[in-house]
Amino acid sequence: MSNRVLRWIHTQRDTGHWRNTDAMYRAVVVGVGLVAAGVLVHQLALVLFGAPLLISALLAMARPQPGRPDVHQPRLPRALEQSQLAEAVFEIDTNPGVELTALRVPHGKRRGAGPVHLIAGSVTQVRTTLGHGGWGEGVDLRLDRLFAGPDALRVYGPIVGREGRRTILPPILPLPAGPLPPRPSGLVGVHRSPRPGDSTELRDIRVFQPGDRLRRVDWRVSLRASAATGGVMSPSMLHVRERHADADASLVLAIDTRVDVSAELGDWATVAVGNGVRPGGSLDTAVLAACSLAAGYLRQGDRVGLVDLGRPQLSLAPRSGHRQLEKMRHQLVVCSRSAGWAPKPVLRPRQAPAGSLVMVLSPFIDDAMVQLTATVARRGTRVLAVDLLPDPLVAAARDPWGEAVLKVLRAEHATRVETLREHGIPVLKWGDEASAALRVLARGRR
Amino acid sequence: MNLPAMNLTAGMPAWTLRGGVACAVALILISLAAQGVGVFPLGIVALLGVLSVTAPATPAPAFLIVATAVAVAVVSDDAFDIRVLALVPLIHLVHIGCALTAVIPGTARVHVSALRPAAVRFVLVQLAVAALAAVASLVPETVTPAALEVLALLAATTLAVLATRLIMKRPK
Repeated sequence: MSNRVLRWIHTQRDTGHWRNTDAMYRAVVVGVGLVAAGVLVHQLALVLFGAPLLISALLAMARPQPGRPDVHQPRLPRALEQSQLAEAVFEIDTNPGVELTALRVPHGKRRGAGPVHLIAGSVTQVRTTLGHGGWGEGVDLRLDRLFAGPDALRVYGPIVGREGRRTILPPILPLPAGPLPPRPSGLVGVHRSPRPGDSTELRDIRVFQPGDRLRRVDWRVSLRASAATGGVMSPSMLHVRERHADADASLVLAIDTRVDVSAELGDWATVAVGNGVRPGGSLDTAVLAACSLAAGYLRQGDRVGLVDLGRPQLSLAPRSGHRQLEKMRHQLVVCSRSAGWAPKPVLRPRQAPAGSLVMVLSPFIDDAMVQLTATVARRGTRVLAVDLLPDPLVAAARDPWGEAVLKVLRAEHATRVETLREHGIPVLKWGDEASAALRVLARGRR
Repeated sequence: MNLPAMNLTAGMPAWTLRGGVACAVALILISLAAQGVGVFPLGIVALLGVLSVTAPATPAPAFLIVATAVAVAVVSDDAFDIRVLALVPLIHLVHIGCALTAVIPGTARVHVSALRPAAVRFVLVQLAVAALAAVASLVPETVTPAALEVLALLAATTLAVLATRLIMKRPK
């Protein structure tokens, strides 16, 4: 092949320049061929068939060659709330010769880079919104583009755009936080400590001791005491009102990211599409529950930590404040992204500080989780198991053993829950009654 | 004229364009059948039509146009027959429809405003071709002089050479 032909083939493959499409070759070759054949064989019909193709090709060639059009990607936030719709305006640096622009832009309620939109080449700005869909991390922007001249006989591109990843934070569902076992150290918070302190809740009335503040003297009780002993007011007759100290609490949310099971047993072995988390599955519920619990307890000044039982290196130490909530929400997305089977769940003693309450969020479909939860309870840590197995489970319809498998699974799960209860670990089902159950459990421990 | 910021809407699915091409192919088949084209050639045209709709970025549309033209040249001598004249915009429509669908994926969304310039150009080109047909209808059908035949052959050869040079020329 001559160099000229090789150069022509290279030009056809080079998407960084304007090039002729197959339609251009069709218009020229078939157009010229039909016109020439019509002239040669005296068939006017062939000339009439070929003329429109030839004219359209000539019109496309006669247009001035446009420069290098491009699309400018705006700066967008890296993290969004699920309900938040971020508006994105894409600037198209187009030219007069561009008649069509094919641009991949997200649109609609489906998460992802979106379909390719064929829009007029004269449009210089395209406005759309991002942020639809469920929580998680994913690609929601990739500005693949192609510019075309008249009748798409010449094109510039296609050019593959740079991927824009965004994190949709898990939503915080309203959950009134119940009382928690108070932390022995620290004198702030909303929980009643067994130690004396400065809260408003009465702890005891006792005889005045050196060091007590005078404003704590209960004069009514002191006068009665002095009247009972002859009406002489002496220092030993003074009584003071002693109050409880306020204390914060420490909550450790331990989520089981090793398994993600949905209500359909037939889907357990399939790979989840999208962000890799099954909507309504155990991991999805665990993340939403962790977010809600963390928000509720952090709002009242408690310390909340996160433990990924499958990957302990992704855990967060207990801390308080709004910043901790944001960190936890981001970390939950990271945990769900790297979720997958791990043979042994891990919760190290230092991940659950003394006096903290550990909430284990798991579907409890394997014995390792039960053993771990029991081990943590035996260390003296207060543990609460939150069962996230979807209810009711649905047997695999196409599997002749589906119903039998379901029965075995239910029986094993019931045994595991019973084992946890025998170890003194309260087990509650996550749902509407979770908050009420938390209150009851917390009151029972006082 | 540059438009202001376009608020992106859903647009039409790309298969509507392919549907338009399919309709044009169906009308071509009807027209050919009405002219008395045999079943075998019709089958070939239909097959090429299916290929054009499903794979517009292949040579199938070119073969479809050529096959249609050959079938008409074989069965019809009257270029001004309405069944032949109806094929002119249909072939042009197949050409433009395949050209547009070839550059976008099947899952794309098409906005009507993008097709307006192509539609206007289609109408103008068809008007020009109709004018050409009108002029041709006025020319008396006599024996063409030999000099004119030679001139036409030279013109056709020049056209072919120019076309080859144009398509081999790299766009700047």
